[in-house]
Amino acid sequence: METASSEIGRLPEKLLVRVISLTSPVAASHAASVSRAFRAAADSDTVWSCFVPRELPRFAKKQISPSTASKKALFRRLSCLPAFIPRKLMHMRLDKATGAKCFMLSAEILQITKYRRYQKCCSCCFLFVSFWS
Amino acid sequence: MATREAGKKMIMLKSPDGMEFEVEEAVAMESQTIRKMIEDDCADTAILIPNINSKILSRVIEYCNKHVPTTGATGAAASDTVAPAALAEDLKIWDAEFIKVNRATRFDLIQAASYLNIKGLLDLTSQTTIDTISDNSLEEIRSFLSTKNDYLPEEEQTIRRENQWAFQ
Repeated sequence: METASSEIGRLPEKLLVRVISLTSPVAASHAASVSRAFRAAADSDTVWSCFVPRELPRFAKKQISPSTASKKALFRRLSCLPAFIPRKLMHMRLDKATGAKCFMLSAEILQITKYRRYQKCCSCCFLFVSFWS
Repeated sequence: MATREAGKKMIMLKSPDGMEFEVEEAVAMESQTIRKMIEDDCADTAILIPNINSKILSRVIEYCNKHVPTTGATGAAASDTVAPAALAEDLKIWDAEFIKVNRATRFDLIQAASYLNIKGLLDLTSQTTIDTISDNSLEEIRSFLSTKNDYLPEEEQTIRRENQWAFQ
């Protein structure tokens, strides 16, 4: 029985937004391709505010451009490319699947004194730390 | 005795199709909307719930009845004998059974939970819907949720391309 009453489209956008907010960044991106109504809800700032951590560190100047005004664009920027946090000498990016903050700590702040030697034998001089925010 | 009676105050909820449901005040107050009405003294003996038919309202009341906190005179005794973890597990099983309804009913329940502001019910109904969105292909989502693809083919391609970054 495929009647109009079984269509999710009859839910107001507010409720569609709420449903999509409970998903993940990947599922929300997927949902944008379903239909126009879904896209309006799935691209909304309300949905992506749930995925971008509330507390973000101060990034270096010009790391986040004004074109990342929407929350979705901000999430995309931070999940695709780590942003530098100058005061703490570390980089941060967001995990695409979960929105968790991932930090890359430089060898300098870990006080690994022989890191130059490590640098020579392998190009990795950052330590990746992930945790749930 | 008088206070026990006061604790069991009954409220009449009326659906627009004329059905009346008598529920305990504590059960009705699971809905933040009704709670506010009662606290603001806007509720007389009967409250008309617009837009929610008797079939859905009875399901909502069933949910609230089950989820009303078991505190107070009788509840304290109950929680002494049953471990909270067991109670929570029990509720989870009950919820899973409760939400086995067709799509139309589930969407009605989402709207009712939103209007009546019952967070637990809204979470339960929304969560069941998103399981569909998370685990299926676009065609499956459209078919499960009876949503029509109203994109032009090239539009859909563009939007898929715009969102490709999330899947890489």
